Amino acid sequence: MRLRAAGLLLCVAVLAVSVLLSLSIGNQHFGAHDVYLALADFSGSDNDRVIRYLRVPRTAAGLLAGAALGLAGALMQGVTRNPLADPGILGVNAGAALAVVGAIGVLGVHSLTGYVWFAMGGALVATVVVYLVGAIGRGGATPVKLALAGAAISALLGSVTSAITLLDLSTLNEFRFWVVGSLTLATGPVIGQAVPFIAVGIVLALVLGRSLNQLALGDELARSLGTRVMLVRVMAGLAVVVLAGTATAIAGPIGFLGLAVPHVARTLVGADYRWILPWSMVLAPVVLLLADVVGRLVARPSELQVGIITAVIGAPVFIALVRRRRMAAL
Amino acid sequence: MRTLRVGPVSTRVDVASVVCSLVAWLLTLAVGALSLTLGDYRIPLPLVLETLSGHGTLILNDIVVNGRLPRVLVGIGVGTAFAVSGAIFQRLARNPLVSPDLIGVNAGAALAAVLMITVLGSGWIPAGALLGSLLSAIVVYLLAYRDGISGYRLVLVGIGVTAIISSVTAYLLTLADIYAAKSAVQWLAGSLAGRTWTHVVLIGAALVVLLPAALAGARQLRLLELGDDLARTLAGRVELSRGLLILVGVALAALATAAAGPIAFVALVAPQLARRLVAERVAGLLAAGALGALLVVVSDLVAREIFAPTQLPVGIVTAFLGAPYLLILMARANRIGRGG
Amino acid sequence: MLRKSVLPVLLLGLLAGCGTPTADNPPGSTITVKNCGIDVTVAGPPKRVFAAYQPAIEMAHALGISDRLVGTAYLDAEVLPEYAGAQAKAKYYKNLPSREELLAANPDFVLSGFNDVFSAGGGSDESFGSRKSLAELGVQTWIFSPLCPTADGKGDEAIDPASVTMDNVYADLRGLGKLFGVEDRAETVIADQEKRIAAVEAKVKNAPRPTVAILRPGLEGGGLTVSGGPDFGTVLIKQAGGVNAFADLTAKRNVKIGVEELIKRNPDYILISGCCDAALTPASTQPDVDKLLANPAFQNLKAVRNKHVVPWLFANHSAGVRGAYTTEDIAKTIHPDLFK
Repeated sequence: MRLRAAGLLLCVAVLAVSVLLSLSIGNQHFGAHDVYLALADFSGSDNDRVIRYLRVPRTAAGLLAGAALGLAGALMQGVTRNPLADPGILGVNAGAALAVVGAIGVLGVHSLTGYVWFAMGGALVATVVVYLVGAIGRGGATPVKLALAGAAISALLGSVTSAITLLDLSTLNEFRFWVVGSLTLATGPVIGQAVPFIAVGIVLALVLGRSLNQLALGDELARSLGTRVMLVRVMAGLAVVVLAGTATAIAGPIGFLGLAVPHVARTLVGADYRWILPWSMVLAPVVLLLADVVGRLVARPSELQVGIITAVIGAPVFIALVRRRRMAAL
Repeated sequence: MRTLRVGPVSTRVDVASVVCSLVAWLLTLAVGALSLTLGDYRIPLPLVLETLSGHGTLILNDIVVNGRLPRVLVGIGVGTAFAVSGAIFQRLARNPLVSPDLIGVNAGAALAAVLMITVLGSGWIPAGALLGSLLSAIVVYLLAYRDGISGYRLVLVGIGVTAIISSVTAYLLTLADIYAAKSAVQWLAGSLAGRTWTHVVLIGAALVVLLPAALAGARQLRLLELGDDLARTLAGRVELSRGLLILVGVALAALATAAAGPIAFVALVAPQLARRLVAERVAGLLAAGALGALLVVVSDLVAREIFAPTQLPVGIVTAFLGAPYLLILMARANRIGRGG
Repeated sequence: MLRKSVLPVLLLGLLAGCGTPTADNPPGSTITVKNCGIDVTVAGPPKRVFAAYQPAIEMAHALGISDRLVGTAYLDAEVLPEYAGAQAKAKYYKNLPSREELLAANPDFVLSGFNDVFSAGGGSDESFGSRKSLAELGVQTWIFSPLCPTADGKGDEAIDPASVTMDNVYADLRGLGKLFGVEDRAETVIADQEKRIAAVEAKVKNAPRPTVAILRPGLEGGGLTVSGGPDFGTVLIKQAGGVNAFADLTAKRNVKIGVEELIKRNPDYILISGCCDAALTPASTQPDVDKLLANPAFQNLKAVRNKHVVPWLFANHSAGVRGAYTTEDIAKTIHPDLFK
């Protein structure tokens, strides 16, 4: 207990370092002192402006989206008792993506402020459909069924998305940059608007830790321990939609972060969701911010979007999981 | 008991399968003929026939013989190939959702094609796509191999590998200028636009070689359907024919993707339709192939005409047609939970 | 097989039917001019010209062959005022036609301002097909020489940077003048361009050379797209007495950069390159200019502080007969005191 708490504090420290790195490393590198001056004593110099108006927003986006995706992944894995659950695998991102394309291409919404609601709506619909389809039949929503349903629905939503983008070149032009997943999409005000959503999602998620532990014992046992299984599911689903939807709206569909980080957390702190959730919430932004820093350095003078890096890091974790577990255990 | 029934059942089914295939082929030909007359340059059927017999003007000849005919033929070819490939995979995995779309074959082809369209800007796309799909299929297979191959592990690893590859593909799209990006997205959706006789030869040759192999494998397939327990007496041969069938299935999907891009859901839907029409438990490869061809040719006609003169890639239409069916299928596919 | 043997006969028939011999082109004689490594041969001036993209459309009007246009497609902006009357009478396609649609217009010559219409591009339905395949139908083709791809069927990625010159625009005017029998008109146009550009160059000769960035409107995924070295804008900026701030990025015409890179380079002028509508004017990109001016991250840019962010047009920096106009336009912007 004390060890896990101390570890969590250590994670927070690591996160603080990641934030500092994200503020100081990039096309030009700044020292910690420059960063401090830009934040505390803004002079309007080039450096100050780069830090304050470019690095700070993308760092904030990384913090918010990372925390949200880490929590969303842990919640999904807990509530579905499914180690493969991830907003990307289960079609949530595809739903958000289609809704965003529809908003740009069909309804003419061009501000990110406008996307948020569509992204969340799309995420909600996709989540519900994937869960319903995956839950039908023997054994309920097994990991394999959910993953297949997610992949199939992602494919379907992807086709509709392609159709819209092919009919309208300017939609394609906006969408292709959004769909990779990047921390430079959102501007300061939009990130500000995302804060309350993420905050609500975080509170909702952290409250559910105990219930998820009981859910892990199976529906029957959980019920006998006094857990209202359906209520927990709905609450968790709501939290996932708000968290993943908002994260997708500010940073595009970033895959595998929500899958990989809770597994790392589980390896470190054991099966207790009261710890897995906060650890995931802190570790995911660490990964996201560091991935973003790497992305700034490898393709200069351009940048590699963070979504590519997380997919390249995260998908092998997924494959390792699939290989490690016996299918019966899935 | 069961083995005794296999003989009569298979005979009966073969008749139904042949009838179903014939009807589907006739419909395919009719729709194909219609396709030859429609387009931005309207050409009535008599003139089309005249052109086909070698008496058309230079321009009519170009449009019909070099434009629309190869397009229809490639459509028929890839429809057949995707459907047969899908039928093979569904049989092997005993899972209606296992289709080459999901196991990484398409993703590799897509990455290679997009790389060629947006970055290299050169090369014959089918060749690169073929290479890409084979490479990714091999990677998926190796990653999924662990004391043998489990259908579910194959699919799940496929999903993982597809995700990595797709994210790189998406990145390449951001590098390209918007027109190259559009052309790449078009390819990614699965399109028959601009297909030539070279593509016809590619997919034709693939079918000539692989279709007989698939049909021969279908007999083995029926044995496999009885389950490994019963077939254990033939243990070595079962493994071998399973491996060969996977190879044939991957090759068909890879070559079809090389010729026309990853046309969605054909591999998934056509074999299912064939099963519903012909019988529950028998492969019906030919029927599946015929229905696949029909599905693609009809879809392409719709894709060309619905927003004319703007054309949609055929894969969008197959997705729209296939999607509701897929949802019903998944809802009904309780069997999927078996062992998973 | 049949097609091959019939082809020459039909070709001759077609040419004889369409080409009315002029005085200095007695019947049977043909004119051949090389363009991007391909022989363009006509027997008498082409009568039915299809012009694709802004530079081709404007060049056709400049050469005085407006009445021979059977179609014009895809303007990036309003045509220059001197061509507005002629363009109003021409048939206009908002999107590039498909090969079928193109052939339905029955052209004998296709003039393209960019190279991608003849590239295979993944079998896009917006490709006219390779130049060779059009020549087989008796349709001659021309690509603007500053955008010559290294081989037929290739596109933007295969431009030879050494060919990006105003001299190559003149070479095109001369070549087309010869083919269309309007050599005098071509020389007049060239003389006018040379005179106007020389006048600008003389005026800015001793002036300091500010750096100029050509920027696509909008932040694309948080990054920016700028015109790199091989873009014709580099030549035009140089003629106007400036330096392309991104001339050292030579991999492509359009280069993606991170936002911080723009801040680092801190160009003196930023031209916002708006695009792709027949009614577009520089004023249409004003909202993008305002957005850039208002972005707090850019407040220290010299161009922003001095309000040197200019609403501008993609059409302006395409190779073609806008060369003189754009040179004057940029010079007036970056050397205002010399052009009062």
